Amino acid sequence: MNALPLPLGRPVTRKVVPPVGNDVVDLGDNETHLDQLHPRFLQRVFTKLEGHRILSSTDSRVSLWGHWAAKESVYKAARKRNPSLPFAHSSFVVEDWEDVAAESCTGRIAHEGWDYLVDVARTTDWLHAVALPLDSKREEPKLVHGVEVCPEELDASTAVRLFACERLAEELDCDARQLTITRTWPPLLLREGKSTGVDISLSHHGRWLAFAAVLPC
Amino acid sequence: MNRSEIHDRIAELVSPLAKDRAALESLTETTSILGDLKVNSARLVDLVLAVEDDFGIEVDDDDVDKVKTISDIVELVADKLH
Ligand SMILES: CC(C)(COP(=O)(O)OP(=O)(O)OC[C@H]1O[C@@H](n2cnc3c(N)ncnc32)[C@H](O)[C@@H]1OP(=O)(O)O)[C@@H](O)C(=O)NCCC(=O)NCCS
Repeated sequence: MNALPLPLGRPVTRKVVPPVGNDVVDLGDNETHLDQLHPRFLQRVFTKLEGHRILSSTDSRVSLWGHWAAKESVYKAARKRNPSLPFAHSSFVVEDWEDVAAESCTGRIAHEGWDYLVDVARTTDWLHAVALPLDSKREEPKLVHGVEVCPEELDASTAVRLFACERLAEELDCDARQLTITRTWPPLLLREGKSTGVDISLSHHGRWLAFAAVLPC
Repeated sequence: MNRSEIHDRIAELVSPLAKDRAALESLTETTSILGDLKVNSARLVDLVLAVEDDFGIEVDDDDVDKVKTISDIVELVADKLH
């Protein structure tokens, strides 16, 4: 915990905002069908155990993209701690996985000494993974996330920023027009050009946009 | 295989994976694979595997991480072939 001095000299404790990652997969996209993937895709991206789990699932396609989204979401969170982190999918190993054929499931990924918990929610149209460091979960961070259709007239990067700003304005009790999300990596949520201390992650695939954010307590 | 032949072959391999058709039509050495062509990260894996098969080379994840543009991938393949 960081102690921030108040103008009056009284210290106030503020919890460090944990890094969040998220990834959305459009299950209606033809690209997600197993026969559309390169024959060595499974071998390249997943460990033997993950591959076995995927192939023996009641819904291998959904299980594959659930594992994929879990890895991508943890990569996005982990890269905030280590900006030079290379993305080797097979080094993000999904453990304690429940079958994602259900509406939601969780998994755990240990990476570079950190443990991440991944929540995967899904409908028939999309699958959305949100990753947070396991230790931060105990402190019950204020997590906000959402999935929305991408309006046809907007490019996905613009649309996901507008969508996240609208949802976060409700949480921050301000006008969405005061909020912007930078095009930098990692993306930053600003209020009238100033830092908000909110940690944010964006994703878009096919028809869907998604974000996850952690608000400072 | 010279650099220009490698470039042409890469352009063919990337073509079915690129989401931004306009960027594909005006493809240059500085075109970015993720940013301009909008190849998403799942299709990037397919591209890497297709490059491996086509040129008979192995490309590891650390190599992929350095690839941002068409020129980077052409360079990578040329290095592996020679
Ligand atoms: C980050 C990455 C994993 C996400 O790609 P994706 O699934 O296609 O795209 P998503 O829509 O889920 O996420 C995009 C968002 O992630 C964020 N992002 C962009 N680059 C990023 C990076 N290098 N690291 C982490 N997050 C990044 C941005 O917010 C971006 O949104 P924006 O384009 O609107 O600004 C991918 O861009 C990447 O850099 N991959 C590394 C290379 C790789 O895959 N190597 C192995 C190949 S074998």
